[in-house]
Parts: sequence; C-alpha cells; structure tokens
Amino acid sequence: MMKRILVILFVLAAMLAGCWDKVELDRRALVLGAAMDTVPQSDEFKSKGHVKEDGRELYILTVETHMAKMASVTSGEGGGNGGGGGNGGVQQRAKRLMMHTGTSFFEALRKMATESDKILFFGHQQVLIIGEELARTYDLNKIMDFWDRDPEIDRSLKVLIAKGRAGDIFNADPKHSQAVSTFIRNQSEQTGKTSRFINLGLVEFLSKLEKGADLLVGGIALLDDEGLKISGSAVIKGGRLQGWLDEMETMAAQFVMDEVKGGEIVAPDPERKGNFITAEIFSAKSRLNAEIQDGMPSFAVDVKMECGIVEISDQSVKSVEEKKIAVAEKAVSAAVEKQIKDTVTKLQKQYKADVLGFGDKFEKYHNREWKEIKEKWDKLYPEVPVYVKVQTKVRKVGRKY
Amino acid sequence: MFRDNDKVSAREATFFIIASLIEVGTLNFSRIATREVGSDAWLALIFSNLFVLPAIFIMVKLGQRFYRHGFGEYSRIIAGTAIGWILSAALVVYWLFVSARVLRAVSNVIMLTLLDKTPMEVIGFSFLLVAAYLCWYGIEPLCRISVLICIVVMPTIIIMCLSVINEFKIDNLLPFLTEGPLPVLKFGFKEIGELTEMTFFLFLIPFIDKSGKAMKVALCALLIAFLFIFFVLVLTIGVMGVDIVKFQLLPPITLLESAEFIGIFIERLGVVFTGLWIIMIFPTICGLMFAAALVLSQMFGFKSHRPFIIPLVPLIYIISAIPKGMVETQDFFEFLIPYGIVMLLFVPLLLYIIAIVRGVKDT
Amino acid sequence: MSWSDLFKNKKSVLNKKKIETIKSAGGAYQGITLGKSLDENIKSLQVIFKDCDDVVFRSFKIAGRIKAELVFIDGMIKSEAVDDFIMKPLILESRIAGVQIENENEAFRYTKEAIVSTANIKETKELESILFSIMSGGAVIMIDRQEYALIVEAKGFEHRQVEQPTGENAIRGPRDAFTETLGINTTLIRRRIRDPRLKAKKYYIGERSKTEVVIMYIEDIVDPKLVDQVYKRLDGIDVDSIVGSGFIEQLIEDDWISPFPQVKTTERPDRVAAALMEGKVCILVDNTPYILIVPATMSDLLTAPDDYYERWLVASLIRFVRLIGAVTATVLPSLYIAMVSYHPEMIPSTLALSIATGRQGMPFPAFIEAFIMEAVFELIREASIRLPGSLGQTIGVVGAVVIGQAAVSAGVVSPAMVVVVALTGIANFAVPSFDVALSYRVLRFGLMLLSTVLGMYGIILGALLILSHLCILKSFGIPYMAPWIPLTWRDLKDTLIRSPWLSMRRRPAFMHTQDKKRMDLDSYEETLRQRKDKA
Repeated sequence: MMKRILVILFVLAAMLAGCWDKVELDRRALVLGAAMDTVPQSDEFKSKGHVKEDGRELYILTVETHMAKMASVTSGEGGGNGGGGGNGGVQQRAKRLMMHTGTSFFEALRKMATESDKILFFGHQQVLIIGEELARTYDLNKIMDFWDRDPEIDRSLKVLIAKGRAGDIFNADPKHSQAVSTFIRNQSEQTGKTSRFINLGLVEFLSKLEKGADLLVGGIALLDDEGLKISGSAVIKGGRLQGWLDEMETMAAQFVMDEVKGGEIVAPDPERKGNFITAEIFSAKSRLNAEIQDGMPSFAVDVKMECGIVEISDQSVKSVEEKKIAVAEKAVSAAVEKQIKDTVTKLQKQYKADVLGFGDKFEKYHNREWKEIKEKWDKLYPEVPVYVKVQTKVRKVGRKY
Repeated sequence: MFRDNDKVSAREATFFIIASLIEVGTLNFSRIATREVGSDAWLALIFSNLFVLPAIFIMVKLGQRFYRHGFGEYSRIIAGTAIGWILSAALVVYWLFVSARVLRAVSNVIMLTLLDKTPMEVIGFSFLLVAAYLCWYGIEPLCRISVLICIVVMPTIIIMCLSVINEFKIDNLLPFLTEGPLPVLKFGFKEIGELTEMTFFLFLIPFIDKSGKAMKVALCALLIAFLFIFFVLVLTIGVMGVDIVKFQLLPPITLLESAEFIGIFIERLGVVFTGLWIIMIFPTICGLMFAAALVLSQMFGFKSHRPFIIPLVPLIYIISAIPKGMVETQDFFEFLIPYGIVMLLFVPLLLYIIAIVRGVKDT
Repeated sequence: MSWSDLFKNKKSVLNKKKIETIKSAGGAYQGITLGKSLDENIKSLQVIFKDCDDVVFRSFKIAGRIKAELVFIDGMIKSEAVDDFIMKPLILESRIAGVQIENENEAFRYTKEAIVSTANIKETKELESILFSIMSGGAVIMIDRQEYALIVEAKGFEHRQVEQPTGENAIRGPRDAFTETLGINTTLIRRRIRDPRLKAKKYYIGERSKTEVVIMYIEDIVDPKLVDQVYKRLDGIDVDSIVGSGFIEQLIEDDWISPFPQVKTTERPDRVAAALMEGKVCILVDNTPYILIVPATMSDLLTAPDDYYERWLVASLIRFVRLIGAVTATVLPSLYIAMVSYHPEMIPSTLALSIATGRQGMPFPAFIEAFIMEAVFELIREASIRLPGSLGQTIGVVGAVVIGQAAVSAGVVSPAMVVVVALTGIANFAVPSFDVALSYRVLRFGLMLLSTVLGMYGIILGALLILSHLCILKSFGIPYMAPWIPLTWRDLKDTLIRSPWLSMRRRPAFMHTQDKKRMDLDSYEETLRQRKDKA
C-alpha cells in the first residue's frame, strides 16, 4: 500500500516539475543537409566582418532545412482553388538555407539561432558535404569532431566532397525532387545502377579518418544548369584531399574494394576495331589477397563478374554464337583489368594513397611481417606489385539471339 | 522464511539468470575488450565464461548442501555468527555497488540517446521505484517477468541484428592472437566480473522447487546468455571493425543505427534498440535489489525481505550518483572487478571447504 | 359469553404480544413461527406488509367450511396458478367432488396432497421462510388451526426473452445470451452440459436483497481447492444488497486496485460451458445477465468465442490481429506523443515533414492535443451508449468524423492526431471483452502521461510497470500471466495462435484439474491410422 502511494506521489511530482526534454515538432527545423566550407577571402565577406579574427580560422556552415508553409485551406463555397492549385490544401514546402561562420562548427550552428525561431534538429540529416578547399587545406580529422560527438545525428548519412564550394551545392534546383539533400541521398543509393561514385556512410568515414587511413569519398559537382552530378571520388590521404579520381577510375577502385553492385562496362571489341561491346554488371565479387613475395608484400586482386551483354555496336554481327560470347567475356575482362591496373598505379604512384586497404589486408593476414614493415609502409606502398585477374561470365544476352 | 508460493520452477529460474546476465556490460564489452585485446575480443569472452565455471560449480554445490537456507543464514551456520555476518555484509555491499553501477550506466545511456536534459534523479528514481515495486512481491513475479522479457526481447534483438548481417566481414575478426594467447587469457580472467550475476546462486537455490536442478539451471543460463552476448559481440566487431568499435561508447547501438531496415515504419532503430536494452536490464537491477534485501533480512533474522527494499531505493541511487560524469563512472566502479572475483570464487570456495571440514549440512 | 369466547379473548391478548414482537423485530424474523389461529397469522402478515399494497390477502373457505387465507404478491405469480390450480380446486372442486373434509387437519392434508395441482409445494411454519417465499413469487395458503402453512411455488413474473448478446457477438456461433432470470440461465448452461456431475449450488447473498446466487462447476474436473476458495470468498461477503454481478466480482477479486479484471464476465452460454469444461467455476447472479467465470487469466481476455468455431489457421491469424489491436490501443497515442515531442528521429523523414507541416500553427503541444482528442472520443463513446439503438451508432460515427474534420479545419488539432485517435479507438473495439477494453483505456491514459513527461523512456517505464503488475497479479491462486509464465509449451498452443483442435488434447495445466484429458488419445490415434490406411 505504501509502495503505491510513493509511486503515485513520485509520478505527480515529476509531472508538476515539468518535462525537460520536450520540444514540439513544429518548433524544430529539420535539417536535411549540411555543408562545410572555408571562408573565402572575398570582399563581400570581408565587409560582412566574416574574416579571420586574431588568427583563429573561421569556417562556414550551410544548412538546408525544410520549413513548411501553412497548409493552404480550400475555401468551402464555390470549390475555389485555395493557393497552390488543386483541392485539398496542397502544402508547399520551401527550402531554406542558413549560413554562418564560426571558429568551430558548433559556434556557427549556434549563431544561426540568432536568425531563426526554430531549433535546428539534425536527426533527419541526410547528407554532409565538404568543400574542396576545406578538404585540401585542413586535416579533416580536426574538423569532423563535431559530427562524431553529437548523438543526435543520424549515422547513416552520406558524406560527399564537393568540387568547388560545398555551400553552392544547395543552390541547385534538382528536378523530380524537392530538397537537394533528399535528391543527393536517393541518388547515392543508386549504386545498383552504376558504380561511378562512392556511397559512403558517416560511420565508416569517421572511423577511417580516426584510424589515419586513406580513403575515397564520393564527389559531387554543381552543373551550370543548376543540376547536380554525383560522380567520381576524392582521394584523401593524411586527412587531406589530394586529388580526384574520375568515374571510370572510381569504378575500378570499387572493384578492388568489393563494392560493385551494378554498372556497365564498355569494352573495345578485339576482333573489330572501332566497335564496342557493352555489358551490364549483374554481380561482382572480388577478393584481395595479400601475399609475401621475396620477403616483400604483394597483392593479388581476383575479380569474378557476372554480366549480361546489352549492346554490341558491331552491325555485322547478326547472332551471338558461342564463340562470340567467349570473345565478349575476354574483352570485358581485359577492359576491367586494364582499368583496375591503371587506377591502382595512379593511386600508388601519383597519390601514394593506400585507399584500397592493402596495408590493412596485409596486417590482418600476415601480422608478424606487418609489424616489421609497418613504419616503412608509406615508402613501400608505391612499389608493391599488384596482380589483377578478372574473370567474366556472361549470363544473359537479351532477347536478340 | 518462505511464504507460500515462493517457489519458482527451474525453467523460470533459468530465464531469470539469463535476463540478469544480459545487462549493460554486454553493450560495453565490445569497446573495453577491443581496446585491450583488439580483434580477439570474442576469444576473451569465451575464456571468461570458461573461467567462471568452477566458481559456479562451487556455488551451486554449496547452495545445494544448504538447500533450505540462503547465504545470510548458511554463512552463519558454517563459519559462526561473526564471520558469517561479515561475509554477508560484504556480499550485500557488493551487490549494492553493482546495482549502482548498472543503474548509472543505464542512466548514462538514457541521457545520451533518449533524454538530454532530464535530471538524473528522475531517471534513476523512477527506474528504481518500478524495480522496487516488483521486488516487493518476491522472487516469483521477478522470474515470471524475466521469462516474458527473455522470450519477447531477445529474439527481437537478434532479428534486428540480422539486418546487418550481410555487412559482416570475417576480416574484421583478424588478426588473430597477435601477442599470443596470454593477454587474452589475462583479460578473460579479469572480466569474470561481467558475469557477476552468477552470484545470485548464493541465494537462489532454496527458491527453486527442485534444488537438484540448480546445476542444470546455472549451466543452461550461462550457455544461453553466452551465446546471445557472443552473437552480439561478433556481429558488432565483424560489421564495424575494431577501429570503430574502439571509439564508440556503446558499439551495438551504433551498429544498429547504421542499419537500414527496409519497410519498417520506424527509422533510427537506435532508439528502439536502446529501449529494448533498457527492458533487458530491468531484471538485472531487480535481481540485485532483491538479493541485497533478502540477504540483509537473513542477516537480521527478519522473516521477509520487504522492510529492506524501501531504504535500498535511495541508497542505490545515491551510490550511483557519486561519480560525476561518464568518464568517471568507469573508473569509480573499477574496484568492483577484483571485488567480484573474490565474491564469486574465493568466498564460496572458502565456505565450502569449511563446511566439508566441519561436516555441516542441511538435511 | 361461552367458555370458548373467554379463551378467544385470551388468545387475542396473546395475539397482541406476538404482534408486538413482530413489530419490534424490525426485519429479523428468525424463530418466529405461525400460531394456530388464522386471524393471528393474518394479522401478523398484515402488520409486516403494512403499506405493501401489492400483497394480496384472499380469504376463502375450503369445501365451504374451512377457513383459509391465500397471500401472494400480484404480478410475481402466475395468474393461472392462482386461479386454476389453487382457488378453483380449493373452492369449487372440493365441493363438487364431494370429498368429505371434516376438520382443518384433513383440509390441510387434502390441500397439500390432492387439490393444489402445481408442481412445487412445501410446508413450513417459519415466518421467515413464508415471507421469503412470498417475496420470491410464491403463494402461501394458511388454514385455520394449522401451524403449518403451505407454500406454492408458481413464479410467473415478466421477464425478458432470450435475445442476442449485446456486446459479445460471434459470427459463427450461437446467439442466445443470458437473461435476468436465474432459472433460464442455468437451463441454458445445462442444455450444453448434460452431465449430472455439473453441480449447481445455491446461495443467498445480501441482507435485504437475498439475491439468489448459483455456483456451477463440474465436480470431477475442477480443482477442489478452487471451489473451496470460491465458497470462502462468497461467505465473506456481508452486504445489504447485491445489485448486479459486478458487485460480487469486486468483492471477491484478488486485487481491487488493479486495472485488470481478475474475473471474466460473459453473456454467452457457450463461453460459460467451455470454461466449465476447462475446470473453471461459474457464478450466476439473479437479475444479472452477466455471469462470472473464475479464475481469469490474461489469455482469456484476448480470446473470443469465434476463435473456436473457425478453422485454426484463420483463427490464429485473427488472434494475432487482435493482439496487435490490443497493443496498439494501449500504446499508439503515447508513441505519437513521444515521437513528436521527444524523438522525431524515429519517424521516417518524409512522414516527419508531413507531420511537422500539419502541426504548423497548432495552438497546443502534442500531448494536450492527444488528451483533448482522447477525451472527446471517450465522450462520443459514452454518448452513443446512452442514445437508443441506431441513433446512437449514427451519432457515434458522424460525431467522430465531423468533429475530427472540423477540428482539423479549425486548426485545433493536427490531422495526424486524428488518425492516431481513430486508429486507437477502432483497435479498442477489437478487444473481445468489454471490461478488458476498459482497462486498456485506463492504461492508455497512464502511458500518455508518462510519455508526456519522459518520452520514450516513459513508455518503457510504463510498459515495465504494467508487465510487473501483470506478473504479480493472481486470480484465485492462478498467476494471471498463465500460461505464458509457467511456460508450459503445451498451453501456449491456445494463446497466441489457436492450434488445431486435434492438438489441444489436454486441459490447461495451470488449472490443476483432476481430469486431465479432453480428448481420448488412444482412440484418436487409431482413427488417424485408419484414415491414413484408407487413403
């Protein structure tokens, strides 16, 4: 009996004391995407007072939120259209951008409170875009701390690096979608269609950074007609942007990392010059094996692909006979092999970035040897031999036999 | 000492122990283990469970020898009133601190993921009050609710985890035994403290309707709990990799947050997962509270544990509020690990030997 | 004045004393008996029934000579009984038949054995039983110079016909429901179980009301300890009157604070029969069409009789839907409050945007909205109960729709809230038992309060609290959560899913019945084998 009274008393007391965490949904502004940039040294910014102060660097944070206008109510009589067209109270959603500078991102974030009556809520954030210059100049490790700590942030958001200024990306006007961030996110999930870009989640991004590994981050660019193009990837080494891989190179890298889920290969026809065989990738599995050769690490990439022939540009081919399939398979394999080899070479020699996880693999499988060469890995990496082998199987040729 | 109806079946007791074993430690273990032994954490878990087996054996044998009495009483019978009293007090204090640790950990989790600004007193007290309500009525409802919770929550958690299983990379569990087995063994021994709820067998045996089954109860419970914890651990490390796990406060929660469940109408499974985990922790805290109250009542010769439950509520809360922040929590409760090993292994062993030597037992 | 007159006067002196005693007895008439004088008896009864103008006193003479009096309550007795079976034979036929009745003793015997041709006749001299019979619809024949009176049972009061059950409709099942008459109710049950081992014990409970209460159970199935418990608890009831079975339910249940009913009430005889076969005890109360079934467990409250008439796959799925309904009814509004106010990250993004848009400009925070809408819904529900028949249903539906729509248009509540409340209301009606639905309502409000203060954690705490309570609760010694909790796999067959009849061969273990088998296993196995051989 006493127990019950105590409980009831406590509950009452708690309720009277107030609810501490309650924030009504309409008092929140749902942040859909955020972009990080450096402060440009332009006059426009100088005049606004957003320039380096006392040697502390400033960053810009741009957020895209969705604010909802009041639902427009159709008037009763006459069935007239209440604003927005159509009946039933069409709700227009307006995009809103907010931009602020600060010594840290959190500061920039809080400064936005001076301009908005709503509390920014990051739980639905879908996209994080990092500006190219920011990535080149600063060690990303230092910058990303805010995103790592905040528990509110949705950890499945996608990270991209913008070619140019990240904030500008939000000025795009994507077709078929209402918010830039939603567009980006949905598009990133199109890896089933093409592997020309990298779909990277926040958790992976942060962990690789913290470990000090090199990694690839997908790239995004704003086109002239205000469209967006997500393709290619940025090479990050030592926390800084070193350079870019174009679309084909990105695909090749994805092959090595066993991340290819779909895409297309255009292979030159070995039998007739100037013709091409196009194959659609159904599935691809690749294994990266770390071996020791002459006391030195060496790697072998083994790719097994299944694809279907979708287009042969050789008009003289009326039917696809068995011979032709074998030829096609070889052609596609050769094309992929070449692509991978080129990309790996570029990564090794030009960027000297171990983004494909070679060192990691070696550490896991040959731990003792790894311990010896760990310090020298940076120098060893550009020289290690990488053997690539691709096997393709054609499963389908379509209706036209 | 027993009111009518205070017996539970062996099955219920098993579920009770399973539910008690699965607590905050399960969430923390991946982080702590990967920091110490890297990707061999799973091996450390196996070792902990193996090392605890002799302790269980002794405790159960001891309890069965005195199948009509709980620890508070038989410690007195075996070693005399003074020593028995001291040992019981040590056990009670231990349990109180463990429950404070669990409570504090839960409060931290809640404050991190669910409620930011709510003062800790509210969270802590509300949890303790509900736990006290259940404990008031004895062990029977406690076991019953454990059965229910285990059956409903554990498969749910497993199903949720299965959604990320295709991201599992066996690579992440390598390298294997980089420094040799010794560090893993040492760590495994240290972490017996994780299985501290096994000490419940010091009081539980008289309540089981057929006390001969106690050994089976213990082993079954240990096995099932182990499988569950192992599954979560391996999945966490396998999907995310040691590097991520090292730096996350509660790795399994991070794991599920990045999971994308197609078609389910609740996003951000992290919140749901946290909720499920809080439900699983509930029997642990109740069990600890009940155990402490029971042994206290046996120490003072009371017939029922009830008068001791109410004062325990503020007591546990106060202890849990001592460390100031999340970081200090870990350090403050550090001493419980060796304390736990002593209570788990050495005290029962000591008592058992004395009991055999003196030839004391229950008929 | 003759000597007899002298004696007569003495008797009237004596009479006065007795009448004084009666007047001052104040209702406790034990031990007072009738005297030999008819006048004295009539006077006593008239004193007791002063101002009860519906009590009829009819004086007549048997065989033209013997003075007698008939006392009954008009309306409670079959008029044919009075006219044709009592008055006519006693006044007319006794004369016509030419039977020789010399004195009062013979008249008494003759009346009792030969003339009054009703089926039920008793003799007594206790005033208390005479009064009780008159109040219950009997007629009392008092004959001069006889201490004993004859009581004729010929109840014939107006009662309701057996109709369809009001709350517990089954699609494919019998449609008769209990009425207020105890005799009809016991008959409805006996028709379904024609076993002499089905016992029906009568009790009279209530100081003034003396309500007839019948306990039914099957002797060799039920656990005798359970029956003892029931007797003990009924004995412990000491009230003035029993208005309905609800009274008794509240007086014998284990935990009166709990929101969960520990006694099942039903209007359907088939449910009662099934319960009896499982080893439960039923309590029938006069003037109430709701029968109590004891003990009750959690799974009882989620099952509907329909489950057993349909085939098992369909029945299992429907049960599942009902379970979801029950959970939804309890938890949905609190989930809404928690998600909107505390954890919007749980809502899928597009939905979150829609809800946020919908909540633009709403004057009230989510939890006030929720409380208002729930309160309105409850009001509509109450109102539709009071209104007669179809009008009530129409008002209910129209009211809900119109109010909901208007509220949204006026900007008082958000559209999402209306959806939530509507879903909850409908889910509530899916629960097959009215009193259980009530407990869901209570729980729902409790959870809403908790989620208002503590968000998702509040809901978790609330869930833990409810679960704890359920685990603690016992109904007549059986844990409320049986069969989940003793976890007998066999019994689970009937909770979440409804297994095929062929696999439910034993009675539920938690009832500790004496006779364990429902179906004979051996002959069933034999039948199966034969069927397989033929095929």
